[in-house]
Amino acid sequence: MSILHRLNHWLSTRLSPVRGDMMKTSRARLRLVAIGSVVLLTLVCIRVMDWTIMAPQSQDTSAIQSEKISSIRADIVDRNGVLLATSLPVSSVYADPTLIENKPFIARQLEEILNITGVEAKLNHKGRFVWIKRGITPDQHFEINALGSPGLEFQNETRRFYPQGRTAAHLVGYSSVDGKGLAGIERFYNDHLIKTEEPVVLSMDIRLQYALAQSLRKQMQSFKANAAMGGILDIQTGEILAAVSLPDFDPHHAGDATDDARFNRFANGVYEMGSTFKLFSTAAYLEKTGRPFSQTFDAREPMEEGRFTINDYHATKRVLTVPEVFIHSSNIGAALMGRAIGTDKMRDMYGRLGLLSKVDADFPALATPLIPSPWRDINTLTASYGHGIAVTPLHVLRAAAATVNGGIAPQLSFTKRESGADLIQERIFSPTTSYKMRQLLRLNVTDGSGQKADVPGYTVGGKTGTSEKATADGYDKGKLLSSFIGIFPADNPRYAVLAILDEPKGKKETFGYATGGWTAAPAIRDVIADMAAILALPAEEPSKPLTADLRRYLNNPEGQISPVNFGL
Amino acid sequence: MNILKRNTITILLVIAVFGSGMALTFVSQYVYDTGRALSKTEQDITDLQWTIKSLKAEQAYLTRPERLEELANAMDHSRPPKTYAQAAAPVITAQPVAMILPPRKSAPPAPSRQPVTTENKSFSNLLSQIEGKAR
Repeated sequence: MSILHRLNHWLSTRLSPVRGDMMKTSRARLRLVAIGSVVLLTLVCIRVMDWTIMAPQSQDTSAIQSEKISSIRADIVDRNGVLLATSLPVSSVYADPTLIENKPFIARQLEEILNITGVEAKLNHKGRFVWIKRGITPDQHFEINALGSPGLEFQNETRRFYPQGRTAAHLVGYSSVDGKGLAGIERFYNDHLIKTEEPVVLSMDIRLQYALAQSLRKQMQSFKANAAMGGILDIQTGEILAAVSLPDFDPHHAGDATDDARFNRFANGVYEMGSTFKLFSTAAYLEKTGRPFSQTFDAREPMEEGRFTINDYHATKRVLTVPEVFIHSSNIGAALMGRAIGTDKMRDMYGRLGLLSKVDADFPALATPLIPSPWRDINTLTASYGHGIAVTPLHVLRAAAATVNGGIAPQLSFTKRESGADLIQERIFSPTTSYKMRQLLRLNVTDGSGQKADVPGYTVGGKTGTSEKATADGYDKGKLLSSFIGIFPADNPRYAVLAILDEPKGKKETFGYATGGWTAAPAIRDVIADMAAILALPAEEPSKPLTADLRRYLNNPEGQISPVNFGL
Repeated sequence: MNILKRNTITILLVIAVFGSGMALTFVSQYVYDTGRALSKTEQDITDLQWTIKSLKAEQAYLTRPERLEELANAMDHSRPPKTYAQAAAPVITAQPVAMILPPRKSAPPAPSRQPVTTENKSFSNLLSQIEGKAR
């Protein structure tokens, strides 16, 4: 018999039946307590294992997670997908000044590594957090780490990178270190860039942008101009293919650039454009009066209007037909056209061309035109040749497109339009008026002041403009704004190209002239030549010249006018 | 015997509880390992996306028009002439065969006169013309 049996027998004989029942109950309770304790202990063990073994590893896992692509500012690309702006990972270094010993030494080391100043003042900051520098290079990160200071920490961030540099700086814009768009497309599409992963696709073609910038830069340097600006517009779709403002700046260091360099002259500046406006006043004249090209205007004497005298820059001192007024760029002729149109109709036409209000386009801080208020009859005359009214280059491009593309004003866009997209367009001129204007623009390039813009094989049309800049003492003859608005192919225009030079200086080769024909027209020629190569546009001459019907309106029987006599 | 039976049940219960705990631990570990592998994969994907992004930026930087022009100027001085210079070159107009040799009665009609342009000088255009004639 085993010991357990004997113990059981002894307990059953020694204990009374009542005490035996109590013992059973106690054992059951003890058993329950024991099981409960074991279960509890097991759960505690599992939880302790979870906390002590797994939790720290989970934290390690989350620590190595870097910022996901989807959470950063989206890219900006050109119409062909070329990257214009993107966000790349960088480190930023900050300090907890309370943990830094020997602050002067650490400050000197940091200044040397980061090539900055004023670090010691930052380290003497009373708080427990101060940025030392954001967006440091991997080498700088390594060198700062090697200092071994416990008070220096790093934060992974992203930094905006602009691969095209200055070429599209004004158009693309720039953003702050905190990823907020401050200028250009970066600013206008800030919400889109933050909230979506989809890149903003601009209508701009970086190749055309560069070609235009180079041509303008070349002319700016050649004529020692203060500034230059220009743009290329797809007349049919209203897309801006290029928009240049010089001087420009490095968008990576926008804060270091001068206000003058950061100023976007193309979209945010307003200018009295001068004779370029004759494109619009002549079209308004043909549209509103319905008179023919043979209508004549007496430009033999300066025009007196109240206390104002209107002169011709290229005085012909004879009676001129409409085509002659246009190619001689006669202020007197244009003013007489303005008078024939009438103030109300002229203002209405300029308003419909969009010249009296801010351009409706997807770009920030577009400038509002400066217009006469109140608009008197004399303002109608001066506005006919582009004085007394100041608009942005963007206004000129849109109005020029409306004048030559059959008379329909396009809705401008800085972003690429999908093919087949519905375009909001408004008819301004009749197709007949538009055709006549194309004839006049082409005539001005073949026979008038725009000859230096001609590109054989590509029927270029255009109008020069030269205005004196307004100063506190009136118009300054020595400070010019020279421009040229070109279209091509003139038979069926697809592109409008604008070039403007601010205060170009005449030189020996140009006989001292710094007018639009000498300064801006060659820039347009170079741009159109480059565009033809870049866009693979076939060269072709129309079977019948666009200007064939206009020869009879020119006094010169041979239809040839010396460029020197013109002053271009 | 009763005590023994009861003790056996208790022991089995304890073993079951410990077994369950161990199983739970292993399952947790497995889930954890899987999660960690997933995180690692996601991290690799993110790193690759960053790498692609950086490389695209580098490509855009290296192929920007400004740099290409500088390289072209530095390394190749034989730049192509401006387009308008090419366009100014005399245009060669195709002469109809009929003007050179009068067609025989059985010969096919002479091709129509077409000016030579960039468009119809293209290789594909040439091919289509050749194929058209072959038919």
